[in-house]
Amino acid sequence: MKKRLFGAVMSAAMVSSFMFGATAFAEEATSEAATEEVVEATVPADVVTGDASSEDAFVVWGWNDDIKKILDGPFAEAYPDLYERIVFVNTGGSDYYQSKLDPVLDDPSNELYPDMMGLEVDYVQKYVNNADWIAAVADLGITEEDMASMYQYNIDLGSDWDGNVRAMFWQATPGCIQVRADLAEKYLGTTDPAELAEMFSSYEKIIETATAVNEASEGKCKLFSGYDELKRMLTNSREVGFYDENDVITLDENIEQYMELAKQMYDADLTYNTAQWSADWTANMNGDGIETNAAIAYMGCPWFTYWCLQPTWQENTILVPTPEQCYWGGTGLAATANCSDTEMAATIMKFITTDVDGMVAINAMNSDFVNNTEALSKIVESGASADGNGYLYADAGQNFIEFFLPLADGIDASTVTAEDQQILSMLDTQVQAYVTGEKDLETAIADLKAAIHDTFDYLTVE
Amino acid sequence: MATKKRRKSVERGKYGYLFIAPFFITYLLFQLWPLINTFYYSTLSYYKRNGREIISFAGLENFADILGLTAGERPYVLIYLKNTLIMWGMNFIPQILVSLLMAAWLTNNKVKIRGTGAIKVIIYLPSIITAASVSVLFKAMFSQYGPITKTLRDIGIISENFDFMASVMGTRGLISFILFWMWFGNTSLMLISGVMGIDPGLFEAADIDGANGKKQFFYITLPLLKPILLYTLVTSAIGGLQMYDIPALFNVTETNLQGLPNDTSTTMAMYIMRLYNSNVGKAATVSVFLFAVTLAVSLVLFVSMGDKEAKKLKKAERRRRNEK
Amino acid sequence: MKNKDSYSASLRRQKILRGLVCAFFCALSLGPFLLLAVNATRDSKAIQAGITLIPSTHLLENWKNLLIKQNGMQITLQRAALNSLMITVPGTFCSVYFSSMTAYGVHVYNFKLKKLAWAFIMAVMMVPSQITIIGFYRFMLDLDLVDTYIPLIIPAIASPTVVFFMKQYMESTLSIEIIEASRIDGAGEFHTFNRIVLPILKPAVATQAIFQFIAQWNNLFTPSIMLTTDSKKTLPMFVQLLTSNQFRTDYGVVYVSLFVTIIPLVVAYLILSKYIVAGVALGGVKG
Repeated sequence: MKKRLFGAVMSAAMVSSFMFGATAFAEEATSEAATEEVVEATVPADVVTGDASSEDAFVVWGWNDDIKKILDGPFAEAYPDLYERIVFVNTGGSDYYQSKLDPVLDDPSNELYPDMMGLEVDYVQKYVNNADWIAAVADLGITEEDMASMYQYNIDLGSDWDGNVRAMFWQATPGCIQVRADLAEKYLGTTDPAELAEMFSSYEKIIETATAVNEASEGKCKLFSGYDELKRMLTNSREVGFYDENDVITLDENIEQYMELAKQMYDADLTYNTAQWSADWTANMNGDGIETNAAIAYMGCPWFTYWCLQPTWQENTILVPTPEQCYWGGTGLAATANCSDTEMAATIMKFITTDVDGMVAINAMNSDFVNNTEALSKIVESGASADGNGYLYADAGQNFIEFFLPLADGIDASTVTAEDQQILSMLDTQVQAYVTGEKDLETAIADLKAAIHDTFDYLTVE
Repeated sequence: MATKKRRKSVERGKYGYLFIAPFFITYLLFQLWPLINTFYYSTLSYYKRNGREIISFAGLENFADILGLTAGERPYVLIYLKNTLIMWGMNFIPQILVSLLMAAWLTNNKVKIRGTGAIKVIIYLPSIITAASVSVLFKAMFSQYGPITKTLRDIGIISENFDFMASVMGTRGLISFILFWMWFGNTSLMLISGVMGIDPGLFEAADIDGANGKKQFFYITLPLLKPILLYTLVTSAIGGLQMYDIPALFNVTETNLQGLPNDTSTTMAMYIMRLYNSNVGKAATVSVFLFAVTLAVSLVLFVSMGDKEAKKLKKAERRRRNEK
Repeated sequence: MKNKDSYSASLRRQKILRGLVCAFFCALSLGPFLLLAVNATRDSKAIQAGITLIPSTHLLENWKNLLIKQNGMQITLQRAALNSLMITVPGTFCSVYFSSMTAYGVHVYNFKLKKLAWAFIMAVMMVPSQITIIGFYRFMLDLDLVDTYIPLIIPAIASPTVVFFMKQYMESTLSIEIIEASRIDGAGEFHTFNRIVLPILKPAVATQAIFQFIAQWNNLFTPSIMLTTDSKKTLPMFVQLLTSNQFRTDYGVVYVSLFVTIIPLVVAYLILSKYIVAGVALGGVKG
């Protein structure tokens, strides 16, 4: 009897796995054709776009296709001949970008040795401070005059410790809060930008607002998906860097404030406690707040709008300033020390980061807030990108570029260090341990410092 | 005849060297030389800053640092050793108990269980599956809003706010459970073959003497299984010390391979992976430390088994193989 | 009489109890696979709603979503599987062939360093690769072999555990007479090994090949350090990529890709289970 039972279980397991396996493989076979179409319709599937082995190949590295889109679009139009030579290496994801890039930078004979590459704010300082890797833009023939219309904070970010500019940015990235209009109306009772701005004008107000949302929705909808929506507002408006000129680890008081606020939100159940970029975080962007979890507001910035917002947010987004002026992200372009064609590097760099027409064209592509005040005033004049790539809620009467202009003025990013990306990740671990009651604030801070020192031996705990 | 044969063997002795040469060349080049180098690197202060390598001789400083003997240094390697041992222990104890139970039951001739063959096949299945995939599968099911978490909440087994991924016990417990789930079948099969290697006459004699099943298990099976139990313990402990795949994919930070929550699911192998590129000196030191611990564990086997029991194990194994 | 009744009654109770416990452990072993298979057929929302054993109809849709997602990942599942095969097949061959050769060398010939060689193989059997990885990585950097498959294949030539078990097997099955007979026929030593001895070792070779294949197929640690280019990554690394936050957006996709990485292994296992289960006693893989 039992033997038969086990036999049945076994054969059922066998048959079902065979069936599933077979269907999966059949699909694999039949959908081969479908795949091809999909590939063509979206982004190219290969790591490397272009022929790296050709004599005059000009290799550009990035961790997504942000730069590629600019090269494919406005740049290709302006310089079709140069565009032909570009080989783009997309490493897919910024987490492993550095570990892939570094060995190649140490090996100029590599076919894929970059002539130029994209560098994110969180680690751009690591690269610009290594002259074996990165060329100074002055050596490419780019002058201070070319940079006259740039935001100063971006120039600082791309400069090494001696003040030589080595990386240049095409976008300015003032931080903001992006509010979903339909949910705001329902649970905050308004879609008026000024009224909403008031609700987010200080961290205390944000807590109040989050509490109000909890009450109004009976917990079905939350203001934020996770408490870490506050993280960038506080870490990217620090006055003190993660270490001082003697390499002693220092923590701005914003860090402590962030930990306290996070704990407050966690204890009062004000968010879903998701981690930024996680699947649940994305899912909450699309929720309806009745049957599925939904968050009303997300920490945002200009690129966040076209890069991260889900379709639910189209014509449904209201922009609100953060309590403190801050920035979020940004990509620097740099030419390598052994760049095969510095003239071409200079042409690309100038077109993307200093040329007014080029930057107007970039804006036309994705409504990006470009790093050039002259281009910005032209864009505002022409009325381009007023609706933020189709995301802004029309009745709120906001103009995308105009909204960000005051927020971009006077951003200070002088505290950014080469190690920020990893330190910020360690901060997450400690904040989680603190808010869940695993340890007290003092221990969390001490543990954070110890972890920083453990990863970066040369930084010391005083 | 005998002397003739020996002479022939001696003449052909050079072929012996030829046959074992690929193994030894490869081993010396790809294992021993790297091992020696690892020891060498552990005496260097060798790290990267802004992509530039900074190297100087450090002697034993690295060891003092990772063990927390230097002022201002935390003994992270000990913390991660503790994490590793806890997660391994929480999997091994139930694993060996369940495996013993399975071994006793599935080899019992009096209370025969039907379908032993099928049971063996089924319980061994998890151990051949890619640990990386298994880890991701469990993570997907037990994540903050995952289906099992949701179901457990709905039927009230865990509280509405409980999150395995934010709980130390939750995460460690799940990692241990995955290890248990993957390996109890393997251990059961090892022990079953161990029990089958015991002389059946012993059980018959015990039957005649009127010893019941329990007594037979504790006085015959268990003592005679001791060598194979020790072998299982040591191989599992050595494997456990290198634990990487499951915790590294289960609940970690995106950039720094910290085992969440609060660095409590970080293992030593994850520490090595975190450092191998940015701090060669420290990573090598951690490797040497891991080597020392592994060596100590292996020595336990030889010391506690002694020569006699080692021979017994060999004999038992040979018998088992002859039966095949 | 009464005594006997109660004895057989307790025997029956024992039987039922043990059957139930065994059934429980079997269910435990199979359960996650069943949930995986079912979830691969459900859409993201349904998956989040909780567990069920009733399959849904979204398998194809999830699979298509995976294909789309892969475009942003620079490597496809099919490619990763192919990469894994390109490492695992030669790696398995190297380890089994050269290990048999080594075991044969020690088993059949008498030479001065024989005892020492065997003691060495026994001694290094337990040294795990994690320990030498730093030196190994630096060495491969010096040889310019990082980001190639060579460091993942060639070292398999030296697999002490396989040597150990091949030698054990030879001790019980390989008689010196067969070798002598071959020699009398005038066959060379390598010819004898390849043509006469290997076929005799077939059962052990097959078992060890299966275990080596599984172990190398599942390896994550060493490839993670050696391979940096996405398009060269192996299947376990693909699984890891898939979970990184940039790509983990749809549960259906995660399950369907786990499904296609796991289920073929399950099927292959069930087909080969007779040999594998028998081989465990010979000391298969252990983690």
